[in-house]
Amino acid sequence: MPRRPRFAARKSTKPSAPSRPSISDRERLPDRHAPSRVVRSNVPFGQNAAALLERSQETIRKLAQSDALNSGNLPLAFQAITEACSRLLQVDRVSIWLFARDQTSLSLVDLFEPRQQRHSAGMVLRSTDYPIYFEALASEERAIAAHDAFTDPRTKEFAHTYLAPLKIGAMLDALIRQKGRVVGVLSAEHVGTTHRWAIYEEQLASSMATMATLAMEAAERREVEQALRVAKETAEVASRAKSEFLASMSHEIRTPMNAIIGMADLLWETSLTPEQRKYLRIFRRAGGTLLNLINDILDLSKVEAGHLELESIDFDLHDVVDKTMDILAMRANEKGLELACHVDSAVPRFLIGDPTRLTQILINLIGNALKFTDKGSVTVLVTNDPDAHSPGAIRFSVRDTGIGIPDDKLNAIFDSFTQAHPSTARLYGGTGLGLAISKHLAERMNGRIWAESSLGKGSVFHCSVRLQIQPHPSAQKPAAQIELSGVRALVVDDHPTNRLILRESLGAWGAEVAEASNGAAALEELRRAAELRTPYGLLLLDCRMPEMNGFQVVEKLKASSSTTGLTVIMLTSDHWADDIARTYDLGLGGYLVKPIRRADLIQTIGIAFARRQGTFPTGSVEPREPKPPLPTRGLRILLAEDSPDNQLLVRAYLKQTGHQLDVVDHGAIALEKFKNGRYDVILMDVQMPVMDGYSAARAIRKCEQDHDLLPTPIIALTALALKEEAAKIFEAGCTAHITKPVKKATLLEVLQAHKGRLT
Amino acid sequence: MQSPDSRSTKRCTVQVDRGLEDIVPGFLANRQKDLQTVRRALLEQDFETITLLAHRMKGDGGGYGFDRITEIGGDMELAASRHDCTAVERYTAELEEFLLGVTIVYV
Repeated sequence: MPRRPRFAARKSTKPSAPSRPSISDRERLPDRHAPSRVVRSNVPFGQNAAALLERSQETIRKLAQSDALNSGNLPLAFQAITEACSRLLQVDRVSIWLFARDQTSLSLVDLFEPRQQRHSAGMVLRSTDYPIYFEALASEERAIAAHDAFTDPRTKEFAHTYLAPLKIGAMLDALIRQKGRVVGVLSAEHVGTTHRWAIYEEQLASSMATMATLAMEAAERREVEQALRVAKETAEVASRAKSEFLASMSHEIRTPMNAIIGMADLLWETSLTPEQRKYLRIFRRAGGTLLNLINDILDLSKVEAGHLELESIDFDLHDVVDKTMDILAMRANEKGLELACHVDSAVPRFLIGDPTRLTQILINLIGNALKFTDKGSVTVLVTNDPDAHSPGAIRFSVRDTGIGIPDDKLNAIFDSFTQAHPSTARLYGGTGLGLAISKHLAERMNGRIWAESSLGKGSVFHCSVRLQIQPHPSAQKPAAQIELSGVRALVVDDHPTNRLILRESLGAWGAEVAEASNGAAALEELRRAAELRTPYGLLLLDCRMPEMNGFQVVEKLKASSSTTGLTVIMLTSDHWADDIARTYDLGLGGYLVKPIRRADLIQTIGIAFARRQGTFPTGSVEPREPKPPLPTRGLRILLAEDSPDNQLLVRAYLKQTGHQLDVVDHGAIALEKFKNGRYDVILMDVQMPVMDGYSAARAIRKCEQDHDLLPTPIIALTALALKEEAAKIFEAGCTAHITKPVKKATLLEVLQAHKGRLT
Repeated sequence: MQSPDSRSTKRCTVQVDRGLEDIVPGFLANRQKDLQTVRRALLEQDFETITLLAHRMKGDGGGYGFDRITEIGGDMELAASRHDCTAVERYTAELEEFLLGVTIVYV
């Protein structure tokens, strides 16, 4: 390897200022004779070979593992390599040179001279000055072992400029390769004598060159990692800034939005023309949608900015689940969907965590299931997480019979602003933020969210969370109980989850429970039990079942006088108002609106037994939990009724209830009143002079459609009993009917149910 | 408590919600008027009026606590719809008898 004497001379005094070699420089160099003696390798083979090999391997191993080589600090790595190489080969000079990108020059990156214990660098060699040497580097496969550098054709062009001044007699240049290309050379040089390089020395030099390759790769890797880290940090800073900006903006926007929506609500309470009301309805709806979106963005940005603090408080899992189901029950009922929830009895009830955020996750998952399901059911199962095996690890699984999600979208739906179907937002609304927020929240609860789906058949969304179990749950209120020992109960529902819920609950309270999945099977079972003189005492009967609905079952039972001693509780979902009225009209024990809550079940059974037997079943019945506060105002009710006596009667029923009642004599006036006022409920007699109830209901529905108004519940009051006439009532647009004569309890119960659903 | 008319041959007691105490006398008085109106309508063969009144009796009676009036109203409505004077007269008499014999207990 050539060295310019001037460089060598300068290095001793000014090592950091290398200079380029030039023709004129070379021409001025003294012409030194090459050493005439070629010596054999100074490393003996034989008994020392094994020790040498071992020393070499140890040095290479240490070097390969050294911080210097792996740290990515290239100058340090090269120094370590040249030092190790000088030790192993016992040479006077070891240097590393790297090619420029265009391969036309080599730069000295490190030279180590062990006698002086000195490192230097900085020189550049050009291919135009040493073409034969550069050509050799490009064509040689192995190291260039110049035993006599003065005579070796590959190195002799350095004779005057480098070899003679530095008295270099032998050069061993191993190629440094990277990704298949020669990128540099490691040079070992003997001073004063020639030297016959042994094969093992060539191999050692090549190993050292490989070390240089590794060092360069480590440096490159480090560079890339550094660049990635910088890019990641930049992105995180930007993301955090974005999230903080969004959080701040969302908050700023929300404040005036609340005022806008609040004022719109106040305006809604005033007297408006139908046209104004139509505009205001759109205004309020859009305001509500915007507020939801802002709230979602606020949540998401809080999570992303790390500002969302989860609470860690005692809570009752049953309360969380019940509250969620209460909120979503109406939506399910409006869509005619079966919504059922079953909390496995092994799941710990009294937990520590953030009930509000858990509710948010559940509302989102169940709400989504309801949104994307047009027919069938949504079932929620709460179990101990089968994959976690640790107390407090709970899994919520929400199964629907909806449109399903394509496989390739199953993960993407958890990304912000992403929905599975391009048309989803248009068809179903929503921002696509809910699942992203829920995912973050679940992760914050040391859990996760994932989905399984079958396109066109439905989906299951799973959410697992890890919560703490309250150490002293006995301090909590005792679980509601009712003693049903000795009571034989028959549960009739076509939906297996509902049967499961009822069976588990009733069974836990001591009842002997049997099931039937349809009306005919129920009748058969009741008949069989009566014959065996083991009659049932309690019948829980789904109103809506295919083939034979619950009321048809009751009619058949009444016809066969099989209701003696039997307490019947109807399970209703959609058409609930109508079902409640029919339940009371038929004098049955009571009703439950699905999804069924344990507390309601206990309460309803207790009341029904009391009504039938005059006493509660033995045991304690938990007082009904306080209902959420009712709206401060009563319902605004319009009664269209031609009978003055019935007008008076309804007035008397509603006295002191807080409801406001407007009374008109026939449908035509009712229509006018409806157009100019706002009512929560319309009680509509069917047979009236001038305009009957059917025509009035149809006209009201048309008016609502024309003005984009939400349908007002219309409850038909009818003395009619035929099914065809009932169908006619619904066809006209009525939402429910109460059979005349109207009983106070029935009317108040139906109105109370409407009041509870006022939004 | 409201006592039955001394002319009544069939006596019965009906329990009525105390909240309706103010309006029950008016309701019963209106049924007395219905008796006259129905009889006049019978003379005029005005079955439309009889149907209307009977329909209202059917719809209103039970609400006040008088299931018997609902029953009579239902029967009378059917009779009027088939223009059966004899039956209408019979149900009118039944209504009259009920009104004379009923004792009301407010609960």
